[in-house]
Amino acid sequence: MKKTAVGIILLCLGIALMSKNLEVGGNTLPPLGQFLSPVHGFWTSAEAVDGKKEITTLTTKQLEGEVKVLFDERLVPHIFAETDSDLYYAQGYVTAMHRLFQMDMATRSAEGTLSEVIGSRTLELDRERRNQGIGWAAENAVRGWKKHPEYFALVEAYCQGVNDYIATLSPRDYPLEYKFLDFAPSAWSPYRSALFSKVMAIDLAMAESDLENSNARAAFGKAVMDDLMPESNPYQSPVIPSGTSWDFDPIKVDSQEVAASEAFRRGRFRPSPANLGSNNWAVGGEKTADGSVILCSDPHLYLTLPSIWFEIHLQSKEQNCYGVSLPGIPSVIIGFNEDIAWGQTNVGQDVLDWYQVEWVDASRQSYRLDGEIEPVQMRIEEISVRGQEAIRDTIRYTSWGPVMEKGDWKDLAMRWLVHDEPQVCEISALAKLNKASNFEEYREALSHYVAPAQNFVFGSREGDIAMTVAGTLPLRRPGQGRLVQDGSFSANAWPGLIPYEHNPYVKNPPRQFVASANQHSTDDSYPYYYNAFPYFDDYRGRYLNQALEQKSDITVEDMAQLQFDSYSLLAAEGLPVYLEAIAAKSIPDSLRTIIEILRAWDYRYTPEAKAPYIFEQLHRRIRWNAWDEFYEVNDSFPVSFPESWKTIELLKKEPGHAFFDRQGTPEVEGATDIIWQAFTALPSILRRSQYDLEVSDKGSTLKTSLTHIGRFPGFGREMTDVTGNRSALNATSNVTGPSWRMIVTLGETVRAQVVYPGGQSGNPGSPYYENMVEAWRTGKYYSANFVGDPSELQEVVAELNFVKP
Amino acid sequence: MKSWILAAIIIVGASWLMLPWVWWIFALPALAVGFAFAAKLRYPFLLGLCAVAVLHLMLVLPQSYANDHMLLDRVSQMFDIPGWGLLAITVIVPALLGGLASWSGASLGKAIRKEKVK
Repeated sequence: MKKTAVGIILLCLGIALMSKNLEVGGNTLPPLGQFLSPVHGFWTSAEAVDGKKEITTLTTKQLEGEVKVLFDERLVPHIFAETDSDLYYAQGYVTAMHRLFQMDMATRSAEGTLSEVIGSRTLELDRERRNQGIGWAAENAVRGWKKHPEYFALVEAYCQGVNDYIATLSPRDYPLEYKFLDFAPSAWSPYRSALFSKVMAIDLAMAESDLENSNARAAFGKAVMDDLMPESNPYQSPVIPSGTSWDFDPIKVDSQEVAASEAFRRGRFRPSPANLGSNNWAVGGEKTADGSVILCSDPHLYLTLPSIWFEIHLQSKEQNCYGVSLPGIPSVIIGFNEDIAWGQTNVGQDVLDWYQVEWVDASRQSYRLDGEIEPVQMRIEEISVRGQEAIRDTIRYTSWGPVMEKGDWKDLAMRWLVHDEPQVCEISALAKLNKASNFEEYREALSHYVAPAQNFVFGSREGDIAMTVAGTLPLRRPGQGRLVQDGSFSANAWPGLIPYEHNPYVKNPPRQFVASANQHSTDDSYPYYYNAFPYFDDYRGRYLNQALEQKSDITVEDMAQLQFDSYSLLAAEGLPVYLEAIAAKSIPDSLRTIIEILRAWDYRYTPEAKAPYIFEQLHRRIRWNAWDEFYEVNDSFPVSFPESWKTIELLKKEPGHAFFDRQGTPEVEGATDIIWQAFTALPSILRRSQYDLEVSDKGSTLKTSLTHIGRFPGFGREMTDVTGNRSALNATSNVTGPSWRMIVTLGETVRAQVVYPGGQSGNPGSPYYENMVEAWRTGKYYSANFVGDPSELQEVVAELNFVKP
Repeated sequence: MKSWILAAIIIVGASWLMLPWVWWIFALPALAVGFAFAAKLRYPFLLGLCAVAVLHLMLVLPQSYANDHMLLDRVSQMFDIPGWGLLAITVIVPALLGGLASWSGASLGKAIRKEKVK
């Protein structure tokens, strides 16, 4: 009997041990018995590579009519519904089917609730998001949306679809990441859709450098700032072409500049904001081979698995629209319908300003505004942390916005446009655009667009092309928002907002094309001041405009080449200046091969070329030598730096500029000296980075990672032999790049070539998880199945029918 | 009775129970068979071990082959172990529990019989 008892106890212990979260080497493992079980665990996510077509019929009370969803050979859902409400219901349902974990993670990371399911590892990120008031912004958004019930109902239909899908899941059907992290998906809501739109705003509308600019001004003074860091680049070729007339009476803005403290020196509070770029353009019929408008769009975002985009085709009695959607937001974000096409790039204008709060006392309970004492509003943020007690943070809100609670930013309040309650239900802009059929409807749809501000390119079958800088933008006094501002006077607030009609746009310009690549929106003739230093792009936009200007008889293949184009205008303008400077030097043996490689370079960032890596090192070293004073200050206080175009211009035109003299050397250096010093340092730089010029097949060192959305090792992918560079149209870096490439021909029928680096399924066990990556890497496209009727689809891998009871 | 028939009973019973119930439910048929045939079993541990191992291989291998072992590769990378290692853990851990269950069942059966004989 004793033996039996021992056996049974061992058995129970074994089962108990395998049912617990185990800690191994600082990592929490899932309950292994469950996770490894062929019936309950991760194995259920192993989808058959050549699966049979699955036909599913679901009975749903929520619908107004019947809905058919056909998944094509790339698992793109084609939804055929009668009403828009049913359409968005089904969109929510199928998006959740394939991207539920991604939707959950993205909104948790924005809201600051990651730690609830992950634990203390993500606590700092959660606290930062709480401090930035992202949840507050989403609450404000939903409050605004509810005032427009017609459109709010569409958001609710989408949420219902997501929740109806979640309701079909038993724990053994959960996406495997839920099983690994051992938690359950929670219900979707309009609030979470709003959070997803804030995810985009975090990536696209948070770029500013007020602190860095204030520090630089305190360290070097206004004259140096004006000389080395001008806000507009005279070589720039803006989004809205010069010569476009402004057909409105500008609002008068007083020109009193808002001064900031001269003695402003502070440490870094957060990493530099993301610098994500994008391209889009449309060419008119006169420039194309077959006379149709061609529209192209490639937004550059963080590259992840699954991708940020979910490709979808939405058809109801009111629309027939195709493109990419964001998993969490109803409608198509970038795409086309039977009459028009549109794409987006980030406007990038600064919509986030910092105001220095004057506290009444050290308790930071109240502050001075216009001489009066104002109490702060306290918002208690309770952050649940898995495996430990919840943490409570108190966030102080002033009339400017939330005050930072970290580092030496404890007196800085954040004024962010994205916090504001919108005057519209934001979904209305895209819902209207999805069914717009001409230029007027496109313009009307964009009047409802709020944030993040985007350059919306437009093309129509009627032959019109256009570009609109859309989104709410602040009205500013000249120079306002470049530096940290004094928050003790309400007069220092933005004088207002720019009305939509005053936002720059252009229709059918004489040059027969419109294009944007995150450069300045306009030239200096635009009556309102705006800034984004140093986030406007200086090279892609200029190159794109030059390239389109030169082209005629344009075909889809030409456009594909342009989207994949790895020519760097930065290199093309910088390298000749660097080589010219050392032309008279006698070249030592150690530099001979290096210089030969650089001289022979065609300025293209291709995987075989060795010059890109060498040029990057050289350019960085020259900047280091030129701006050593800045780097020194930057070690203690982050400062803005002169941009590359300014550096190259000064090296060329003012070789004796005082800043080129390196500190700590007895000689007085000029441009030639610091360029030569950079060249002579190259052999040892290359040796240190183990870059061997003799190895013939070693070219670019660019590795692009597609990181899994939950950062699970093994679920991402690292690519080598990637073409592109940040300064080229094919702006691929190690973590960002063209996240969707689309070329639409608006001819007799509308045809589109599309690709993105990922796959439709978010399931790492699906053959559709990363099936498009290779095509993307090599610049290939798929033809979109933009059909008018379900019967026209050639290949259907799965079918889903929603019927009424 | 032939051991393979007993193993089959465990396998059928477990696969029938596993779907609606918890992952460790295979231990019940293993224990029950061990108990019922206690007198005739020379190696009860081995019986449960083999039956549960075969059960798991039967469930896992066709799924993984159909999937081109894609998911096996990814999840084993996540755990930082080779693919065959993950497969081995998937099979061996429950197999050991199955063996323990049959052995305990058999030992319980024998003990009860002894009591009766007494």
